[in-house]
Amino acid sequence: MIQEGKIGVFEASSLVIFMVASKALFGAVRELVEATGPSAWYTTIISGITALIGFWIIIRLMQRFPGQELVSILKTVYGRITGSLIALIICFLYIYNAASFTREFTEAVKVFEYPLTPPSFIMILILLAVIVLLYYGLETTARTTSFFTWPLIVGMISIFFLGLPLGKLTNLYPLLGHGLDRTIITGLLRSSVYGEVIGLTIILNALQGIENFKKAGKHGIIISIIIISLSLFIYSLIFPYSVSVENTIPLLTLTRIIEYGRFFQRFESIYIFIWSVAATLTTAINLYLALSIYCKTFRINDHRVLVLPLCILLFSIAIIPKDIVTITSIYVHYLRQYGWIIFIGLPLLTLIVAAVRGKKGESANA
Amino acid sequence: MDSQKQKGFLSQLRNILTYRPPKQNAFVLPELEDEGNEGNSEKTNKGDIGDKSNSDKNNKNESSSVQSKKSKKNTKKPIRASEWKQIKSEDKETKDKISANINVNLKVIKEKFHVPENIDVIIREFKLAQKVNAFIVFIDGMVNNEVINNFILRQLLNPLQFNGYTSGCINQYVREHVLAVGQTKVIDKYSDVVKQVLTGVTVLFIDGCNNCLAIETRGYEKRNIGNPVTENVVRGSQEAFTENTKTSIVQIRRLIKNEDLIHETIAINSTDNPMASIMYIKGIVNPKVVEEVKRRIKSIKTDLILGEGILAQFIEDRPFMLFPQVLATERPDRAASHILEGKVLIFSEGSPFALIVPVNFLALLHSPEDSSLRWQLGSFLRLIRLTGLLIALFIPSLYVAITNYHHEMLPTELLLAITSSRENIPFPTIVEALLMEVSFEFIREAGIRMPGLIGSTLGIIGALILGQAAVEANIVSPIMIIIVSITGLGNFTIPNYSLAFGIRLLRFFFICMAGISGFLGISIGFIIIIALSTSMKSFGVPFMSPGWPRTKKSADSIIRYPLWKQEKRPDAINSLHRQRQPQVSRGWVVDSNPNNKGGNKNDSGR
Repeated sequence: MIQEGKIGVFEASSLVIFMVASKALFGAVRELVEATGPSAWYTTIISGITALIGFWIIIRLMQRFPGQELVSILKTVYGRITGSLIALIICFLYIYNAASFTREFTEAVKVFEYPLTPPSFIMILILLAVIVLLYYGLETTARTTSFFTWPLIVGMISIFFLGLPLGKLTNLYPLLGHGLDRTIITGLLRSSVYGEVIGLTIILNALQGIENFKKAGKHGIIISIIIISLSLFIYSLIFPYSVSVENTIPLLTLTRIIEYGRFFQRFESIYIFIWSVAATLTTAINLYLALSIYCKTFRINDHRVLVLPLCILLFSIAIIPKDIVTITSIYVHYLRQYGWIIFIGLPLLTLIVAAVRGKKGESANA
Repeated sequence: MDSQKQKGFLSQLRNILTYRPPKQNAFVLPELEDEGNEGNSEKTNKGDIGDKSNSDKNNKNESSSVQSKKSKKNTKKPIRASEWKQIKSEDKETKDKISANINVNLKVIKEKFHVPENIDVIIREFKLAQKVNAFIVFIDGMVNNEVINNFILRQLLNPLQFNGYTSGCINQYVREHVLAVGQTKVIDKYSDVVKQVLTGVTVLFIDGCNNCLAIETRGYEKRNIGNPVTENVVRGSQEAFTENTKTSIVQIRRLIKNEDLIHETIAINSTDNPMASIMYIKGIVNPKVVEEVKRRIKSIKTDLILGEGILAQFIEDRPFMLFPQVLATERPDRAASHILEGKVLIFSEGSPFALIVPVNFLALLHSPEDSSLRWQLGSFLRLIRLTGLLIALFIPSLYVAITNYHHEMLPTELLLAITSSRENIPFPTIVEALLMEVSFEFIREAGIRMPGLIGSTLGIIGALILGQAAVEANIVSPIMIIIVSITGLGNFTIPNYSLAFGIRLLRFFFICMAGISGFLGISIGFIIIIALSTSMKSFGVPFMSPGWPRTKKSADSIIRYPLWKQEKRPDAINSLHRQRQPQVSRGWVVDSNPNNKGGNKNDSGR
């Protein structure tokens, strides 16, 4: 089994925050506003609460198998071969997630900052940092993530506050958006946005106990709900609906219109920094989780040998989509719409199957 | 004439083509027969120069072949490797034991120290109490002659001193009744004798004794205690360590008058036979750290350890990183404060610096002055240093990134100011930045290498004249001069020399990353550096603690809390005794209040 080291609650929460909240820096905000209108800011709260319920199911599952991480539980419940296959599906989901994230960032950064740079070059740069992070493993990735957590949160909140004077309350109307039914259904379906929290189950042993796991998951989801909801709220407050559905990267557009006098204007510099850091770290975390699942499935002791092949695989998947429209409308859209099947559905199914087949962990049996 | 010329030409051609053996008087550095075999190398070094050596070799080969034929007839039974090793080590041990025969001892000592070739080694033979043969051995210049003349030789030559001697080992008697010297030690191995003599100790051999006496006589010339050169402070102690380890240890002992302060010496396995000294407080330091320090120092096998700078490179966890993982200080007060935090101090002979382990990143940004000043001022200074570090690291790269990739980020007026100043500059910004940074490094290096007064003035001349001329010649823009100057100033605020050097080199890395892809490149570079730093450890302690990984809150990290609030030692070091002072360290606050006799347990941070 790979040696993953130990991480604390703050570091684990940071992993969740980066995996979940960094989506607000990309096209997800626009997509939700387009789907639900001005009610987007509380649609995401519905999604978050759904995710918290899903997380409660995950906690129940982990409590049934104390000291076991997800891959091991899957093998216990479904048998070695079926369990491994399901684990590999989750592994692929994380690779897919990382690849779509990398490409989405690459396309966005190409459109706004580096129009002449080839996408492959930007991806290689990101992968350079990802390789270093993955090579040193979970401890380093978690510590680096926690290092950038406060800059991310403070940077985003400062953007929100600086943009606040530009807002008009009337932009938030109609309060129910496209209708309450649509808001609730979209909110439930898009709980997949918070679904990456399942990643903590993969690295459970590094978290030193189920209590830390619970705390990290809850904190991570709640902070992410606040960040995403705030960004949607400010965005809806500043841009009228007709304009807000047109912006490719909503928060970047927001930073561009901030102006305080002749000197303090265009706060893109803060944005670009947190943008690139968030993209790189989110890719690294997703890829590490995929790496961890793979190693645990095939009982590989040293993860470092897989770093380079996995990065090449990620690059190959990320380079496939034609353009940014393909990424956002197909890759990201389906992932956010149906990701919950794996993120919430799978733990629930596993819990039911475990109950039916009477499978329990060692200490739970005792 | 033509034929002569032709002859000359032909003979020249023949001379070129003909092989001629090399001239006899040419010196040829002999190659070793077997570079891995140290024993053989010595033999070959001694005898194999010139043609003689070849004939010697041939003779040896012949004789060895004859011997091998003979030995084939008398083949011994093979023995196991472990047995052979045991026999060899036993043989070595017996050979290393001091003989009771003084003539044997004299011969061995002369061989060991290459006497009489080695004129510094003094062997003084005499008759103990005018009867027994004895000799002392010491190195001229390393010892205090007065001690040898008045308190060793005078005593040993005086028969009256031996009136009380009846029988038994005379060494014991000499030690207890004759010598008027503070420190003596009985030694029974030649290898120990060699080590002691090389450090300035005088060793006494007496006929009939199978051991000898090491007498403390160290008295070589050494530098007086001076002011710190690299860690200056306005308030606080003004004395620094010296190259002499003994003096440095006394300086620490003067500051920490504690019976638990331990000083140990460890011999380093190196050709120059240096000793490393470690100091720590038993009961506070984590014993595992001490063990690890000893293990690392003992495991070193090298040629030369000249001071702590070289030693540090042998014991660091991650030698390929630019940041130091040990803290070098020349200030006894700083060293003492770290010892009291539960760290280990390492001295190596020949350098006026001490190494402190384990350390974290923030410790490299601290200065002893922070504690001398009031807490607000100390905290402010730390923030200034941190800002200086960030400026030194990022300002040139941010300038390169903005001017090359992100012009739209600048306010229009500032952009116009930069553009107009760069109008006549032929170079791209990255070339301009690298040019100026490299020039700045030249000035700095030249300033250090140039002697005394010239060195200090060179910096000013270089910076002023060169900068002014470069701007006037339209080679660099004035804004670049400002950026390089601010960067230089920022770098000078970093109190640790090795860290400052690391930041200087990283600056070039960030300039290149900014030149490649602007802000994205800087962000990627920064992530890589943070990833490498968070993965680093200094003797088991994470380098980026207490932040990443998060340990218990420290009252002495970036913000320095008031001294009376610093109740606990840093968590990451895992010292045995975390409590540094009671919760109420200023007793008078409680005592002065008549309603609160004995203090309140909840009065934290008083």
